[in-house]
Amino acid sequence: MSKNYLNSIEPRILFLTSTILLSTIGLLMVFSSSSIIAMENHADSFFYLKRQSLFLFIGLIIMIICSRLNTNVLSKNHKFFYIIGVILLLLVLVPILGRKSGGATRWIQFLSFSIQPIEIAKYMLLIFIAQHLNIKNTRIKEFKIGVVSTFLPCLPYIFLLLLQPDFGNTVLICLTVFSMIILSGAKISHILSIFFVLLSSFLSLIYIAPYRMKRVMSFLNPYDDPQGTGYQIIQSFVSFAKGKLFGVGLGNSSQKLFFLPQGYNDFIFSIIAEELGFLGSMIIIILFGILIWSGFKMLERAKDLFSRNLISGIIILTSLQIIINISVTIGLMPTKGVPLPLISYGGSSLIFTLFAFGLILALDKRKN
Amino acid sequence: MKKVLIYGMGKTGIELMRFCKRKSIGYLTFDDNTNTPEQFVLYLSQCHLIITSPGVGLRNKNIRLAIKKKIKVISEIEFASRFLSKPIIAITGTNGKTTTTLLTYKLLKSARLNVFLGGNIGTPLIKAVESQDKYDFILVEVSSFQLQFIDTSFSPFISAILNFSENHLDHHLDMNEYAESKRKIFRNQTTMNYSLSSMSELFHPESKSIRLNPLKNKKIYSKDNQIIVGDIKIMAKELKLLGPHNVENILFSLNIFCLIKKITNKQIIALKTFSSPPHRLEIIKGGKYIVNDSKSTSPQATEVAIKSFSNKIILIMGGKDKKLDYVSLARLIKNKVKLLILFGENKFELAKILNPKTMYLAPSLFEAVSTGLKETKRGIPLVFSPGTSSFDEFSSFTERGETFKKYVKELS
Repeated sequence: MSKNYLNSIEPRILFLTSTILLSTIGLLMVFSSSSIIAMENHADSFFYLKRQSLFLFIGLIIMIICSRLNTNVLSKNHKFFYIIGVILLLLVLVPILGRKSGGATRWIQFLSFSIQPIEIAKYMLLIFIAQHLNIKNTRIKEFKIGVVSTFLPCLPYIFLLLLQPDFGNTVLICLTVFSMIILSGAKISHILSIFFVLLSSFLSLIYIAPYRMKRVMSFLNPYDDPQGTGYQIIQSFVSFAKGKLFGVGLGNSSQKLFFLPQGYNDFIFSIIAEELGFLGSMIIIILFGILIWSGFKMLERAKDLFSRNLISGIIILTSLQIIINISVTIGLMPTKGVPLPLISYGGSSLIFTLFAFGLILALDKRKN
Repeated sequence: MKKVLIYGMGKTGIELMRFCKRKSIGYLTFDDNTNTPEQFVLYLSQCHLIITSPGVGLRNKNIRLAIKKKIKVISEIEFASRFLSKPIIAITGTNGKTTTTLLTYKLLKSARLNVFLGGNIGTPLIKAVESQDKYDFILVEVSSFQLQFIDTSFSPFISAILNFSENHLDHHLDMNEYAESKRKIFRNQTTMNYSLSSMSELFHPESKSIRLNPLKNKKIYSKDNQIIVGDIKIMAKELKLLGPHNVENILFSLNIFCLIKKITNKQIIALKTFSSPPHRLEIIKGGKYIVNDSKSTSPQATEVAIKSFSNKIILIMGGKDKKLDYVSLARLIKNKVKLLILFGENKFELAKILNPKTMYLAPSLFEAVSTGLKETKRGIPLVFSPGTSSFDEFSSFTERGETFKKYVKELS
């Protein structure tokens, strides 16, 4: 019954409603989880809330502008967008611009704000891949022309990401592009052969860099090193345990009091689970479900391959981010550094997620 | 090892046999004309898969027995699809399949694409498998028989159902089953494939493909005797294809093409120079306006033929007595046929039912042609559209059409 009811609602409205609800909840939770840290570090408990509100405002404006975009601009200039993405990732490597944080250089400094280029670059890559698949669609069942030629353009991105290093986004991009290629009708055996090549090279990368090894190990056995690599995950578990069914109540989290670093960022879902409990976190997951579902509804009624490719790319990327982020907080995956879309604190992520959602709305309108 | 059973030993059956031989797939062959039902029962225990030739349908008792015994029955196009990696364009429909497929072929060719042309017209699809590397597209005309036994592999990049009406019911169990088999052309299509039909009820509910209605395209449409493609206007007079039914066929072909490439002047030239395939409202070259429509084997087809002309015509009809329904045709003949010439087995029957103002009963096709040629003047076309099957005098509509053309040549 509920499915029929959902079916009768216009997908655009569902999509927008869930986007706005989720980002509002995000705002609230960012405030709740960051206020004390903000007071401590910036002498202003509204510091993160103010910034995140500004980001949300900018993001919503960008979303509205994008939703009115003629999407032919995207498909015609796909190579241009690709190059922009590469340039942004290269900027991180420029010593004056790149900003180091936590052993990795993922940010570029821009006045008082810093930008995480991958949050923009990944959508640039998706635009390119969507058009590329549109062109190569008829030959997608051939290994070289269909599959390899689509995956090759991802390699510069992967290479630049590994230099930062940003392992989480590398995996995210690979999985998204694989899914897009499969959706276009490629043979699974072709995808698997590339997948295994990548998997073996990733595994060797893990063996080379010890901190990755530590992260992987800590996710499997966090209690081996509770004060070191296992610390974040254990604190996350504690949050979940404290939350129980109904949560300790909004603003009452004790984990956010410096026990869980980045409680307003990658681990915001743990704070949500603690303050709003199992029910609250389920509501968030259901809202995400509606968001994804209505996205797929718009995919199904899109009338051209480029729109279908790009919508599917954005939806898959968003879904994977949600899955990876939540899995990390409940200890199903190693710590990745992937934010929870619309909810985690962070301007680049929020603004460009909304940018991509605006594109979905524009593509949905596109006729012929 | 259990074998595959090739059912039907026509052109398709022989190609299937050759293919299995080359790929060392164990096979058995069966044909209704040379084998007995007892043999079939024996073969059933030795095979795990039956591959049918076109023309073998659910009416066939052996096939029904095999299905009852849970042996998988697939058609040749399904079998061939398992080995194909090039994109397939599949066209089906009750009328106009061949014209649309050939026109689509010509359009694709004019864009310098290498296209395999096959299926119902000429080459069986299985022949494309070993030479597929050199093709960009595989274009097939498929009949509802072949679609009946589709499993999971036949998944065209573009599928089109041109139209759908009552016909071929002699081979299908009922209307529902006929529609269901046509709809199967869309069934395995993925989200990144195109389905084309002007009737939304024909789309397959399970497929998430891109559904398009070629008759509602805002950039390619027909209006007041013109076909409009973007900024280009083509007058109906400039075309060699006759009749309003062909306008729909043209729109389907252009829509299929524009999903692959942008329509340029080359395609417009190809369209203008395209003429009907033989025996389908084919204009015979010569001084007079003579049209061969020997493919017409039903009153509906003759109706379509008459409607293709804006002026009055001289019509030659007749052939085997099939006890068909001629009521609506009679009305049309009264209005639009200047002289009706009848020949063949059912000429007296037709004379009684159609009851036109002027008519001539010819003892043979030769006499009919000779009278017709004498009566045609400038502007009045002579149309040969028999409206029934040819089996009283000829082995096929092709032979009938060829004979007609021969007489026209001799007499003029």
